[in-house]
Amino acid sequence: MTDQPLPISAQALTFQRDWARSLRDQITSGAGYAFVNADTPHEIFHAMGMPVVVNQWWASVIAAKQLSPYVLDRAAEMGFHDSLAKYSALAVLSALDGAPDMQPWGGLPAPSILCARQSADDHQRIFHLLAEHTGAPLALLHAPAPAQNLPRWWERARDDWETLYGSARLDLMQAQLRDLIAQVEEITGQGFDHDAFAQLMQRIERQEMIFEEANALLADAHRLPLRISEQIPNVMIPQWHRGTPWAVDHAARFRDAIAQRVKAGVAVCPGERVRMMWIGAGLWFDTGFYSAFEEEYGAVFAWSMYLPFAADGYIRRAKGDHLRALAARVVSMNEQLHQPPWANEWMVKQARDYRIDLAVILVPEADRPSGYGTRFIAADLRDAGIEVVEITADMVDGRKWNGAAAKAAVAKAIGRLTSGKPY
Amino acid sequence: MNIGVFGFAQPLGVFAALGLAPQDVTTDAAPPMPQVDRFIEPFMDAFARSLLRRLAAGALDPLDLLIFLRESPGGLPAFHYACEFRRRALLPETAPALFLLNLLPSNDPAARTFNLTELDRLRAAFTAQRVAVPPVPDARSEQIKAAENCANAPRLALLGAPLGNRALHDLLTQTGQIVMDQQRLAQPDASGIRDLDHALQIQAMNPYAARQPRDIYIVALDRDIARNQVDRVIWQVDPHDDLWGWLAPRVRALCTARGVGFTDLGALPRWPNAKDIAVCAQRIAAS
Repeated sequence: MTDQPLPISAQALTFQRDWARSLRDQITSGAGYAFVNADTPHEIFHAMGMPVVVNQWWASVIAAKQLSPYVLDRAAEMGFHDSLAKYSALAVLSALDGAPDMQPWGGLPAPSILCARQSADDHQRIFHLLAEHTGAPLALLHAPAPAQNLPRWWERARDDWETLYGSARLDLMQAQLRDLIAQVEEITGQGFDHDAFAQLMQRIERQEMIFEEANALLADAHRLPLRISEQIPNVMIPQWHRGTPWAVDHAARFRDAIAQRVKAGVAVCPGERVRMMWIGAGLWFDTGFYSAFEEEYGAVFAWSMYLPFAADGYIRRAKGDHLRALAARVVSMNEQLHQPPWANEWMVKQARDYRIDLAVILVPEADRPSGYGTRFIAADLRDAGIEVVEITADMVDGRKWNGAAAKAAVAKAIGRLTSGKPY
Repeated sequence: MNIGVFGFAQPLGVFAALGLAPQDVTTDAAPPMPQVDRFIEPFMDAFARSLLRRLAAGALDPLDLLIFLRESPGGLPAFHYACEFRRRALLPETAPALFLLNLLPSNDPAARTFNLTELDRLRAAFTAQRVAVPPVPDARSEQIKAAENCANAPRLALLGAPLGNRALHDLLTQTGQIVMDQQRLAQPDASGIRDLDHALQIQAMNPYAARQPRDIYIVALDRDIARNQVDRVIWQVDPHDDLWGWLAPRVRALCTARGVGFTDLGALPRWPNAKDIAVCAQRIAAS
């Protein structure tokens, strides 16, 4: 068993820490920044040099600092009932509470602009609250759905995205991107550099192709060479900074480090006998869960969505129109992970690629768009011969998390898979 | 051609302008249906669950086309699950064709272009039937009539998530008069619609639409509470509400500022039964 983290993991975390420190210095000294949802076109802000704070990333920071119970209890005191979404709202609720000693960095100053997409029914309501609280303008992107969710989206999305997502939806999103650009131009007083944007988009495509190579190495490895708890920061930190030279270089370092481990036969669990996938967002307040089954059961979490989605969710070949390619990347970004048949087909494909034995599905009841489709996913995985455990929990709400019960459920499923097998 | 429509805040003016008079299939309840229930999460929108059960049971087979409203909560998952059930051969072969209608509540040029494209797609899916008069009564005039009928009773506004039956309404009218019903107000009044353009504008401006992108609910509510001389707001949401609850603190604060009573009934099933209504009655009496 290797407990040695990759040196590049520390590099990624150091980069993120330095970036966060720099961002904090910038915005606390008055620099404008954008506060945005994860499924919005960050590329516009990056291309214009406007710092971005991602709502869900900030929520994960709050949760990782074990502050979510306080924030959610305060939300109840403010009159928000407990069935409302947590992941998309935690950062907003924390800002509404405003207690400096109970927020990372003492809290964020007012952003220059807010950006969300109406991919969930509540996003406009949540961002209206933040807009009212901060006075920041809200760029809200419409989210109409395709007439049909065509099968095997990941095969069509790279080149045939016009058919997959529909021209009318792409026209609409492209028009909204133009409006967003004009809005950011007005805030920054700078013009949008289309050539620089095209170069950014090309670097992003290169980065995601590298991640695809890294994904193939992990999927094909005889035994898991890198835990998902270490995969995630090495993917998500470059993804938050996608298209920067550092991000492209880090993706390459990540791929090469995996290749070296595979070549050397390194395994996080030499006695690996059960391969698991974690379906859903990260369990941000208890990431130790991901390695809890290695020593006793020889069971490893080999898959999380973050790495394979970097390629399938992001590569949209521009064919000369980078803004439309960005529209294609954004227009169904989150939906592909949750709506049938997109989500269930993709999960089965991923499970087969990774030779998964057991899938653990996080079912967040209070985040319905993320919870919808889970039973189709579970059914299709079972039909594919994969054991499934569904855990009802929230990715940032640790108050109701019963770690012992969740571990027992997974252990029981591992037992069903390994009964009679020597270890 | 028999056409049904699922969802709240139906664009009846738009439908009428297109020559459509679809049958509303949103609020009918349905018994459990094991072959599809196993795929429906417990937190699924209650109206969507009911619709999916009726589709699977063949209860909607007389329809040729079923329109799902994307802008109505529950409309999108209902459409996706229905399509997935069809793909899995869980719907009768005689079930209606399924159509998702995206009609953005916005008058900006790009949204307008998109909406017109969507309506072209809808036109291609049905055989036009001329409709002389939009089929909905004007909710506001109904409320005014109700108010005139019992002038001295407390004037109530029923706000929050839409309901599937009239049980709560019946309870409220025992002691007061419902002068505002958000479920009705979310449905734009189609009686004065001039043409399609006008219908689209009216649809887009509705402050009570669930996914209205502009933050105009509270301003409109403030206006309408004063206009209707509301004495008390009755607030309730679905047990799995993920939408209306975000407004509750602001509505409560508005009521406090205007000297209007606010009774929060909390989470209520969409088809409340006698037991649910008894609990509501206790809460209202205590408020």
